[in-house]
Amino acid sequence: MTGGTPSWAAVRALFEEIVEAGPAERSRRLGELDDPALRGAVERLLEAEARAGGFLETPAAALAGELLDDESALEDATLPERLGAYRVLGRLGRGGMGEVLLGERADGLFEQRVAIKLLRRGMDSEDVLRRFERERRILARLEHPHIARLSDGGAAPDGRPYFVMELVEGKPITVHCRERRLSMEDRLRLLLDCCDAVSAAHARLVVHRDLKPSNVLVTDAGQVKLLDFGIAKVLASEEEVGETGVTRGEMRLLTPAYAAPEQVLGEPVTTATDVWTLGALGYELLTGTLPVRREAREAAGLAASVERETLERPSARVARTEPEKLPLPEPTPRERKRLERRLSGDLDNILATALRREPERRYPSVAALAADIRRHLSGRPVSARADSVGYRTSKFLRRHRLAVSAAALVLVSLLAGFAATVWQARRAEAQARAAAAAARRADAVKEFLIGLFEIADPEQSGGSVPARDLLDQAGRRLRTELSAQPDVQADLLEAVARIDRALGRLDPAEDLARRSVAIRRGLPDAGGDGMGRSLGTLGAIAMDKGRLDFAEHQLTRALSIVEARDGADGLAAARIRSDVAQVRFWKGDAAGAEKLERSVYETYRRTLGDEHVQTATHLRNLAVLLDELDRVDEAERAYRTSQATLEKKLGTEHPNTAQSYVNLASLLDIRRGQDAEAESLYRRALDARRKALGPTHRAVGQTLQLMGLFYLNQARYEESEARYREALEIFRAIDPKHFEIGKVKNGLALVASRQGRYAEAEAGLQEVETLFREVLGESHPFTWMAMGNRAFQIARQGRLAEAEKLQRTVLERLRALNGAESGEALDAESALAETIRQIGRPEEALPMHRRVLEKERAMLGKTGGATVALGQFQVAADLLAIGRPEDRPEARTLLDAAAASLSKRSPPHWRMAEVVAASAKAR
Amino acid sequence: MDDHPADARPGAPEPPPPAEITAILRAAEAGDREAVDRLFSILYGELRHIAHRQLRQVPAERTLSTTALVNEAYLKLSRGASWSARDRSHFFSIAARAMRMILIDRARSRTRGRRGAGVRPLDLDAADIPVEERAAELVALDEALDRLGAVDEDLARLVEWRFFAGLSVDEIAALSGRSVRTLKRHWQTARAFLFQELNASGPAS
Repeated sequence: MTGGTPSWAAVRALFEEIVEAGPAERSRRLGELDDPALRGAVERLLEAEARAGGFLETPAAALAGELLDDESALEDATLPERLGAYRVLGRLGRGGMGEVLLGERADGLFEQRVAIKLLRRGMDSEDVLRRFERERRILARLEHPHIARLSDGGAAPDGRPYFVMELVEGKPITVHCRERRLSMEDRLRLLLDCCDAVSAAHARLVVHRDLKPSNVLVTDAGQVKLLDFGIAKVLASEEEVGETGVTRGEMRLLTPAYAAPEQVLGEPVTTATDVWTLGALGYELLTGTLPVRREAREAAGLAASVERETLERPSARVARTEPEKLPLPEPTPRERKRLERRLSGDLDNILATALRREPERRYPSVAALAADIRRHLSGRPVSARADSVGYRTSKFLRRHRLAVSAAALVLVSLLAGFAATVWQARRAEAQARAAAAAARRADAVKEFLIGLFEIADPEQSGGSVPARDLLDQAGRRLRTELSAQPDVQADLLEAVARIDRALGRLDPAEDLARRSVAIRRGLPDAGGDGMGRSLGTLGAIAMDKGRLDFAEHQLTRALSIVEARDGADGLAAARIRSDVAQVRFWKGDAAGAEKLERSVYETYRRTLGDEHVQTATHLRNLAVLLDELDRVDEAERAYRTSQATLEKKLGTEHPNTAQSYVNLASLLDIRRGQDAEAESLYRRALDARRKALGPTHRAVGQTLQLMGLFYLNQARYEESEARYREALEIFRAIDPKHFEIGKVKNGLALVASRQGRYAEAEAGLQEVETLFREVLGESHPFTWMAMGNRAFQIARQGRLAEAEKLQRTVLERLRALNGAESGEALDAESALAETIRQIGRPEEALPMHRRVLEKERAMLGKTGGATVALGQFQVAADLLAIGRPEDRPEARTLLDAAAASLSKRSPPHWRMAEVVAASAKAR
Repeated sequence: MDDHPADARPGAPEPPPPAEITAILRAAEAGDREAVDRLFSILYGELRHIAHRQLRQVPAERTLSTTALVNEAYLKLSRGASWSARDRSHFFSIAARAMRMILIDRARSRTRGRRGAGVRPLDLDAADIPVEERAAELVALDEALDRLGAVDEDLARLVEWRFFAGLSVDEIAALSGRSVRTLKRHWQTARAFLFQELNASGPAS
């Protein structure tokens, strides 16, 4: 079809084909056309596309409220004739808060025209009226040449409040600058006038809160007037403002593009808020464009976009904007270049400083901003500096915190972390298992998630404010604040729940996660992604708490939501499945967990490829399970493959690589008896974590703790104690109530116990128990396992009745919490039975020990190693204590098996001496 | 037997039960014009009702979420019915159309006597512009959208979904079974078309 009107289909096809192409490719394709009409049509469309900017990107929702509000249409017809002493002459405009009327004194005392701001219906609640009364008095005293004075106020006959203000005949500052083609210097001087006015208001504790071009007018004479301190609040009564609910509603009244981040996020508004909005105004005056684009209109979307926002340097913005849109004397590339140079440096830095996301990092006051602008205008050095690389890095992490923490890497590395020490636990007896079980929960997820949390908040990592205080505060605030934006509230509750979880604060974590789920249940999108996330988090927390059935239930629900939204073979579903695998593992179904985790790994491999960090991380998880299933060769191969990928992708000093070192160390140590290589891997992990995270990071503490356990089992007590003490200092500095402290002290107590210092061990474990009771509560197994450990020390000191009583309590609680067949309950039962034997009732102990041995054999099979061997020893000891000659052969057989198993390792198990002694007795 | 049900609302009759909605929806899908009109008028009434209720509840609310409106209507009308992806897609098409009409009807009544004043490209971000002026822009957009619909119904529907109903690209992808990437490209085309139309019909800046 040459000539004539080209078909839309042809235009569209060509347009879509080349719209993403570069200019060269475009002109080549267009040049090939022999149909000039088609070519012209596509070129016009391309040009329209280039110029369209943000056209249509804001949904019509932005107007819906105003358009659909019939009451405001009703107000059209019924302008009051008079308001107080003023006759109403007409309407000047309408805004979010109401309408602005033109008035004049009706009593003829003055020939003065005024602007009357009449609040809209619905804003005449008691709260508003009460606050209005208070503000009116304050604002009436606010006199400044650049502030439109508030002269009067009252209530209309229909009850709506109104303000009477100085009538300003001027244009919005942006329009004024554009029409007059003002120079950069003139624009900056106008901005300075604004700063002075706002600064004067701040001195009277009034924050404007809603600065935007339509509130900043410039008269024909060039005088700036700030309007509308209408929603200004008195700083001094911030608490009260928080309670009235209007601050929460404030969001809706604001113009999103000019709202400071803290306003969008519902955080406290301070004078720093005005610093931001003045920065935004300056940005617009100097570049002709808004600093940040806020496309969403609803609170949740806005909050999300604020979290993602980065500020484009004004000079960079100018460089990529068409000259027509810029405040240039002439719209030419040359002028644009000049403007770019003019902005780069000082002005970039000044605006960036005013527009920082965190209020405390902006200029400390509007006066400081003004001072820098003045310095710039007079050619002196300004105080504003570009962000440091370090800060930018942390900022990147902060921005991506949620995304990163949602990643499988974090959640799944929990699996790797806990399993690293599984074997150590199995090899040791009950006390050691408590320590290892604690370590395995916490390890990797903390080093990563909490690492982000700390790095993201450099101010906090110095330890000046303990993280728990921050989180307590965050939790408290989230329970009440943001209720007007329930989806944001639910998101943040879930996010804080995750951090709490990563810090081992499981009770607050669960509370927050439950609230998040409850809130989402009431939302229109109750079955959406958000619900999937919240349920997934709740499930993961329950898993950490050891409530495995509940955890599995929540995770299954989360999975069904995610699968429905995202497909069964998507990564989001895989992530949750990996958690389910972990629950299965905890429930003792390692084979089921392995199948599941293998499918997760396959999904990652298929989606992201073999060489991806997350694929490698899941391969490592799989290795943990293979190890558990005695497929040691496969496990070692998988560990090494995964480790090679991580070393290649992340380097040898990355925390995630370090996790691989820990895992492989554990396998080599326990399965292969290659203590030397294991030790060297632990050291590498320690070095890597120290370098990557700093010497006081908790992941360093966790590595030290694992090394403490390693040396403990090597019977290298001095080295063990030294590592534990280093770990203790690290955790104490982070938080004197840190849950890890309990684990470290448990290790130190074991060091003492192994060396026969039972009283010292008892005292240490009493502290552990007290700490766990406080931070984990009575529904956490660790609290009772610590008590069990203490009871063992008591028994060793011969206070058998006291020990028995405690051990009965421990057994009862652990059975209730974890189930009678759980490893923890079986250990407790065995310990109780041992005390009973020592008291002199071996007949009573024997069936208990037999039962334990039978269950452990069934559960652990031949991998039971030391655990099964100790069970054999206990049964044999009972038999010998009962002392029937016919039982001796059985006792001997059991003891031989136990001795064989326990002496395989070097050094032999610490109870080996008792086994040998019993063997001697049996012969 | 109650002549005055407590929730009687003038102009907003109780919508038919979900089963009936489903039947109407299926008939509409089968090409029954009358069914389409009927569903449209139900949705029109329902969306308006929900909007007004929201505005009453939160009087300071300026930026109603049209997405939430449409989703709420969906939840209410589909309750208990099992709809296929095709049903849902069809439902949202009509709902988006209804949302468009609701907004445009109101915009028209707000712009009486203001037409012909020269129409600037729609920029709802420009908070300085009074609502009447933006309403005029919306009406102009509606007309341009009709022109787009005449040559490309598919793209016009996309604009209704995204701009008027406020659905996200991801939501539209889920409803329409198209990839996000494809939709983004289509959106670019539609936007360019409309921008061109609006700029051709009004005086430049």
